Amino acid sequence: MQEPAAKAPARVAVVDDHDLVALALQALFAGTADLAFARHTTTVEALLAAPHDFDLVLLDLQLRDFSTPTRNVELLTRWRLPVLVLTAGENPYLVREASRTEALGILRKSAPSDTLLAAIRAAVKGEQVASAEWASALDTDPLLDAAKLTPREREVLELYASGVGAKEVAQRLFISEHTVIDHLRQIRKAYQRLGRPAHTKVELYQRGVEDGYVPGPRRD
Amino acid sequence: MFSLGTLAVAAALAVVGHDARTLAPGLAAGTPGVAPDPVPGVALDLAIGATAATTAEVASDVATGALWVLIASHAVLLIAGLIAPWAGAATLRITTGIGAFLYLAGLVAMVLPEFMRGGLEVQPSFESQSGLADISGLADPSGSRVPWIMTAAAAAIVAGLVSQGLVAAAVVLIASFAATLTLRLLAGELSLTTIVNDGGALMTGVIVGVIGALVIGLGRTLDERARELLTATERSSAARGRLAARRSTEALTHDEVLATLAFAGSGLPVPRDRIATQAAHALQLIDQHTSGEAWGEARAAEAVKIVVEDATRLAPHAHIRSTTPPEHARDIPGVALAALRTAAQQALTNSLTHAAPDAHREVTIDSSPQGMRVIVRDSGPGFDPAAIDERRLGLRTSIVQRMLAVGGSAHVKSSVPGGTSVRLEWGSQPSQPAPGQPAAHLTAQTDLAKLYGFGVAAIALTFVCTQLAAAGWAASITAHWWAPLAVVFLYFVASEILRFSPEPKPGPRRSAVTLAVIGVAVALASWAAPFSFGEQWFMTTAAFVLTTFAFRERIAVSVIAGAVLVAWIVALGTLHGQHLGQIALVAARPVIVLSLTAGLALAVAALQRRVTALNVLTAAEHEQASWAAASLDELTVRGSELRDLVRPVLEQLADAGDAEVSDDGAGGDVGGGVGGGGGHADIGGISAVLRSECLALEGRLRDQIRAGRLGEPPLAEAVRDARARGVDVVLLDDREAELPVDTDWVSVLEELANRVRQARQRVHVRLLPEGREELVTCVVDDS
Repeated sequence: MQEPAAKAPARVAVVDDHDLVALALQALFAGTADLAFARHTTTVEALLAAPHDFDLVLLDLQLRDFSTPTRNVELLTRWRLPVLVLTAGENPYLVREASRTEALGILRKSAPSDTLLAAIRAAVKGEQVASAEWASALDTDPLLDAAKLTPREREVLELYASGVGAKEVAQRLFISEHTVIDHLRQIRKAYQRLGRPAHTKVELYQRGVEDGYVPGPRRD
Repeated sequence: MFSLGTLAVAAALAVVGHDARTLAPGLAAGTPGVAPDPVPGVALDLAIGATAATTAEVASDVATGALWVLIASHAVLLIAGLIAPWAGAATLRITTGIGAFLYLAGLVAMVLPEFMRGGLEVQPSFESQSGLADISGLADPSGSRVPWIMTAAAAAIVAGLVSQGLVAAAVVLIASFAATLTLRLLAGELSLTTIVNDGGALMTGVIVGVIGALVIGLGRTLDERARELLTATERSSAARGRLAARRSTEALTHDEVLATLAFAGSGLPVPRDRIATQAAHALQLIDQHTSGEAWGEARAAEAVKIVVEDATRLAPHAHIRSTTPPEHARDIPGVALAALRTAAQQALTNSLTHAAPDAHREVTIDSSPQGMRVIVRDSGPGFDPAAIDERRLGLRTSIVQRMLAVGGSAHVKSSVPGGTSVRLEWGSQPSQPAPGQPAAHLTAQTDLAKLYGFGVAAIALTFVCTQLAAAGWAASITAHWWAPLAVVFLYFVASEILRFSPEPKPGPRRSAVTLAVIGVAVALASWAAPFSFGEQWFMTTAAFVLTTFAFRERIAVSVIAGAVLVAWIVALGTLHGQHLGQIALVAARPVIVLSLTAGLALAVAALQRRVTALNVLTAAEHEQASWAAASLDELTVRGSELRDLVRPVLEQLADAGDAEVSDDGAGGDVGGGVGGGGGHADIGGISAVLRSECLALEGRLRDQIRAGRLGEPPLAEAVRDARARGVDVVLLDDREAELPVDTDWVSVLEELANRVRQARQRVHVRLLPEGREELVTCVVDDS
């Protein structure tokens, strides 16, 4: 039987403190035809030192080498490597910090396998991955006002943050799924603009806030 | 007539009180980090020198033996003043004690022979060569050489104070007064003049003694408080360090355990033994976390090196400076170092991002006995910290927060355009309370209240005695005999008006009334009495009453009123046709007394402010320590709960003994492993039951972080059951504020529980931030 030449599987590298995560992902990819496990390192520097034979990087949000998500994503995107962030603990501050980077999305490690795979496949194509965690972190960011989202965009974001999937959001708002994804893209762009160097005084003040110079109220 | 000496001593005390270190800086020597301060010692020496010189000028004709003893006592006191900054407390006490003792001996040596002889040769009217003695008040209007004793007493009184306290000072004072009185009696020259003069000198001596004691006492209190603060800060930073250690290991453990459970429960065909290893590792972490191991400390030198390496790696073009830690540099706990590193990296990353990569950038790293410090500076565009509105924030782990959590501090300065500077410190500096912590309460300054009370009583008693004696004598020799008594009565009234002021600081009306009464008294007396030194006794009395204002924080009033009084004296004297010298004699003591008390009152106020400030800081540290201890206890409890919760499952995972790696498990229905609930087969040697337990546990741990109010009972059970069924449940409490007042939260939770019970694949419950249309959203399966 002649099959059209199968496209080479996309190679995925993992940066995480835990071996187990890498193993699990490896097992996950083993069952697919289009994804392959490339390598696992515990720091971004180590990954970049190795040959760049991968198409996507799965990055743990909280690594133990005292690196920040911003820095890690920056290092990777400098090499034009798409990044998808994985998190176990969902610390909203860190999630927000990661949202302002060039990373394609943020997922929790304990998401159902099919969700993980779908997200990874999208990321390989360079598409943004919108998850409830990401949306929730943005939705609770008081600085979001400065990102100047339209009311419709905020609606979409809020629905997403509540765990509603893209299809259902489209149904509820009587728009097409495509439009929803567009909105999400806009939101992401607007939010990421918050992460660029500031040019005005207002942005400078936001800078100070974001950079964590002022402690916020704590619930614990 | 001990005016010049007194003035000099008063100046010394005022200078001393202005600085934190007191008359006896040696008493503070040995406090770590406190540099010896030579100023008070020098000031004291000036005082002693002045008295010695003037004494010598006047007393050249006295019995040689006594004089040499007195000179010796001065010499000793001079030495004491010189060594004060470096001498220990004991040394200083001994030295000043010797000086005071020699003085007393000199007094005895002077009086005794005269006593034996049974009478003094009355010297002819004393005329000083320079006239200086006249103006300085050293010359006694009656021409006797006796009064200079009180001059020499000034230094000895202070010495007595430093050496043994108020009692010794009182002894010196009383001895001097007794000696003077004896000599006067022996010379038969007791008169109104001498009574007024000696009485005034005694009064001034008492005031100097009391205030001096107060200043020294406050200074000692200050030193004590500073030491207490140091101890409190160390304790509190230790407590916060422990808390931070706990928090960080908790976070790590959480992370580790979550990862283990997530992937063990996912149904992915991971080799069983790897899961076992991971689970064993997690168990180990939990044990360490609960037992408190692995919270080690790093040596200062190592810590500095690590931070330098971090900085060099991150910003190779920055100027990185570090100093070699001194010998007794403090070890820094692992978590504090971790926090410092992360905060420093964050600061540096920010700098690299927002200032141009080639902007001037500096990193300074220091270590000292107090702790460790990192400063990150750049000359970039900066930002405006004042524009930040705290209420808009929900940041959890900021640079400042991170440092505060380990008991350190972070100070950020920035201006547009001026660049940014971030200073991170960890150590025994008093720190600001972390947000959310209770604020410190101001403690009342009640120290020395007893001393103050006693001192005031002594002053009052002396005042009453001396002034009554003067008034009585004046009444006996004056034409209008009733006038002095009336005047005394008016003064008494004035003092009482002030005394009965409801607040320590008398109000403006009360002050005005008092001043008026004094004015009337002075006017009356001025009319009634001739202008001679003795008869003008009431001027000095007025001055003493005015000093009460200084004692009660109305220093300006006492000074201004005093100036008015002096002007009045001058005017009166001129009116009576007196020459300048005589006028000066009368004016001298009021001037000295008022300036003395004003200066000392200022010194006392300054010292008290410092003590209060230290009290506040110490209280803050104590609060922080107990807050940290309480949080630590809470975390410890949570830690044990975690362990109990998680242990059984992890142990099962770690026990790979009877696991059989089944071939069809690997590469089988991976795609269908939806949260592990879909398949009921053993996968990778983990039974379906165990898998679902893992997932349930993982969900519950996640809830501990994110569920907040949604983790409460009616809902919690439903969630647990759902997870056991294999449903993926996510609970998010995104609401920082309190629930709206009229919310029936239990009903809400019950409704949510119902929905959860009906879920088959996934549930996503979210408590929305305030200001939204809805309170809670709940998405079940895909609807």
